[in-house]
Amino acid sequence: MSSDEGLDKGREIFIEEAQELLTELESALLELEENPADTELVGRVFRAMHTIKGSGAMFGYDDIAKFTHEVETTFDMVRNGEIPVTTNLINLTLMARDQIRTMIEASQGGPQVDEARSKEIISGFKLVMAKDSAEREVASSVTATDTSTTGQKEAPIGRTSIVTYRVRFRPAPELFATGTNPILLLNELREVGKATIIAQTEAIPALEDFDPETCLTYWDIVLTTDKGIDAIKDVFIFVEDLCEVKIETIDEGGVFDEDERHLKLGEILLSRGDVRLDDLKGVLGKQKRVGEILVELGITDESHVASALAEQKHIKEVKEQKQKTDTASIRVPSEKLDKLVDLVGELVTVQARLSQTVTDFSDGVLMSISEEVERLTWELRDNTMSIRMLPIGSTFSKFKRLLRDLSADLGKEVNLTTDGAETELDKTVIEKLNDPLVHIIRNSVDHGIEQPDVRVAAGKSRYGTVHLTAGHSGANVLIQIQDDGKGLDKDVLFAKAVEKGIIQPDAELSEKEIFSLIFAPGFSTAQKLTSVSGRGVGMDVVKRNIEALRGTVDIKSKLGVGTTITLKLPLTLAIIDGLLVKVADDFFVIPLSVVQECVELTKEDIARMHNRHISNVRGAIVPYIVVREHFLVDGPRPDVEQIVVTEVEDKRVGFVVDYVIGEHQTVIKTLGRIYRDVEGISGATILGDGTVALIMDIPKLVSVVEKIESSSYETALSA
Amino acid sequence: MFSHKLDKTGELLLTGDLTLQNIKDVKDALLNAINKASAVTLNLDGVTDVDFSFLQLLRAAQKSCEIREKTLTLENVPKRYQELAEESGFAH
Repeated sequence: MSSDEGLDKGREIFIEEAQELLTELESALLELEENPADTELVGRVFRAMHTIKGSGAMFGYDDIAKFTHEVETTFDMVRNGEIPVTTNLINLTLMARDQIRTMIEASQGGPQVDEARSKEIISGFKLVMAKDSAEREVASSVTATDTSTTGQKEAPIGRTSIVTYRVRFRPAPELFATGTNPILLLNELREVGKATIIAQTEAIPALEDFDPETCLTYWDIVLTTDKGIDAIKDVFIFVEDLCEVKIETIDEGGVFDEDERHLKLGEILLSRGDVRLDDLKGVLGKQKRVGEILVELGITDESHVASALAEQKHIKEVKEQKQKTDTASIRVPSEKLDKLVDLVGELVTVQARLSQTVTDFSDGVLMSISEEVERLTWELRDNTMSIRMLPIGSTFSKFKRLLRDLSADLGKEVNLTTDGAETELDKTVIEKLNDPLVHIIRNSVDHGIEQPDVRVAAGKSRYGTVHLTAGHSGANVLIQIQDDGKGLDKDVLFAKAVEKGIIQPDAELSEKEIFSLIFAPGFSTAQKLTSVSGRGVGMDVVKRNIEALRGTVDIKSKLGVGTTITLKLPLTLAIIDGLLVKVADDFFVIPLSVVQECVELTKEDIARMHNRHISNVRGAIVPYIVVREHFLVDGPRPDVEQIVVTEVEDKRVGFVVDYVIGEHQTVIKTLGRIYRDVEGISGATILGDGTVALIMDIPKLVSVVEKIESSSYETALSA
Repeated sequence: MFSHKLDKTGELLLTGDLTLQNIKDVKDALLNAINKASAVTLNLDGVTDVDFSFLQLLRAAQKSCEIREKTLTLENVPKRYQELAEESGFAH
């Protein structure tokens, strides 16, 4: 690889990393706005800026490095408690974040960077720093200063990082008499961070001289924490008068750099004051371990050496833990993953062929090998799929920013709450979900949530809420966007649809159907158009996008209370569990996630129901679609057919097929351009013997057949 | 609640709570055993609770035995004792 290629690769990695860091930065800033005193969040902002600056400079993005430097400097001052976190600072940093993104995009051929804006932002930061140092000067000369004069949420910030402390906790002998249990204090310390605790018992005399109601033990504790020294002091706050607590910092930053060596045992004992330098030097020339020698010579005792050894071990463990987290994940281009999924898909298909061929041979040895291959293939499939799974939380944090900006634009006060951010979904699904979710949230804020005064007048809180939830439901993920706005008005929607010519004035529609009108192309209920939404191109695109992901959209609303939109999406787009069925010589796959059961359908059953495509499944009436009729498959129907009963949107619908073959690992292949618009088929798969099976789109088929039925019913009525 | 029984072999059976409330009595029983036997076995089979004061007491008893060149052995150590030793930093 030439140095140029190396640099290009490095730049690619920088851009990828910077984009991730900018997302992280945005969510940290938004959280910081809510918790301005959180030092950990300030640390996150600082680290993100610091990394962008450092790697930017390394790969020749000097403009980015220079620009980021100013922001980093400001946040360094925030870390040191020199500047408070204010809304102004958050706004400025969010602007800076957007500007860095524009710079990155410009380097990849995007629109040119507005230099004037960069300068404006930088001078904004300089003003914040200058203003603050001026204020500090005033503060130092005038003793009584009101720090909250800016009227903003603000808090002093202290430095935050992982620090290792050495704590010596020596309680007074009469500790027990006050009812204090020292072990509870030790356990509290364990909650502060990673603690190694050693009891020192040299002060305990022989039994005959010992008053067992006194506490003569003291403790040496090595504690690594990011919570700061105050968190340690807090543990002892109620026993301050009854104990001596000495806290020393033994490592700041918790980094324990590669080239930084561990403290040797002698050095630890020396720094603790447990041995003198002269004694240590005297024994260093000898061959034995320093701890043994010191004990042998009576310079210190075993328990002190054990304590120092424990400290050494503790630090080593912290370092190892850090190394582990550093190498716990690797960055892989997504194309490589896509290729892997494709290959696994091919393997699944070949494996099906192998299984089928082996059954024909009926060879025991071959059979067991084939079964082993099958097991491994399934494991490989699940593993590969899990690699592509990402938590939806990263998308959620983007919406926080969206909502913040929207609320400001529209003069509304809206909070975003989320649930289930850890829910995992296929990477592709998450990417494609972004635009639909943006549309829905925009609509909720723009059309759903009322202005604060209107809300107050309606007896609601002036703050509107948009609640995003994600969760698993079988092989699907449900994403709900719930607002507590004004809800959908059925009459207004109906009138609008009539006006737009989408429905006839005399159409009889259920509540659900009326709500679904908002997904009709060209539908918009906004009285005036805003820059946010209301061009009537949003919601139909949402529905199309979700359906393209093999998902469904459901809408529920109550006037004056709010609207809930539920998106149901498949976990993955590549391989599904399917039920393989046969009609004449054609194979079909029904996604197993919608299948409830299979029942037989005889000629007598059909006659009993007067050929009305209805069956009686254990007393329940289930309508069915004859696949043979729907897809115009030739050939006679067998005497006994099978109904595959499915459930879609709370409706049970059967699909009549000739034979049910069984479960099938279905690798989804997209259909060619010509077949793409065939309603009711979502893709195809290749079977073990090379035959093609079509994957049925059950919800689509049901709605298509419903439409045909209702139009033929209307035709019959008009005739 | 605390009771104890020392047999001729030097086995001291401790029963009940070995906690601060009874620790003086536990000390007396233990000291008596060390005075009488050259090898003391502490049988903790009947112990219902134990706290930090007992850990200290044992350490003192070990020191006494070391000085007098006697042995002290623990038997039927309850799980709570082991947990407590871990929590208290005595396990090192």
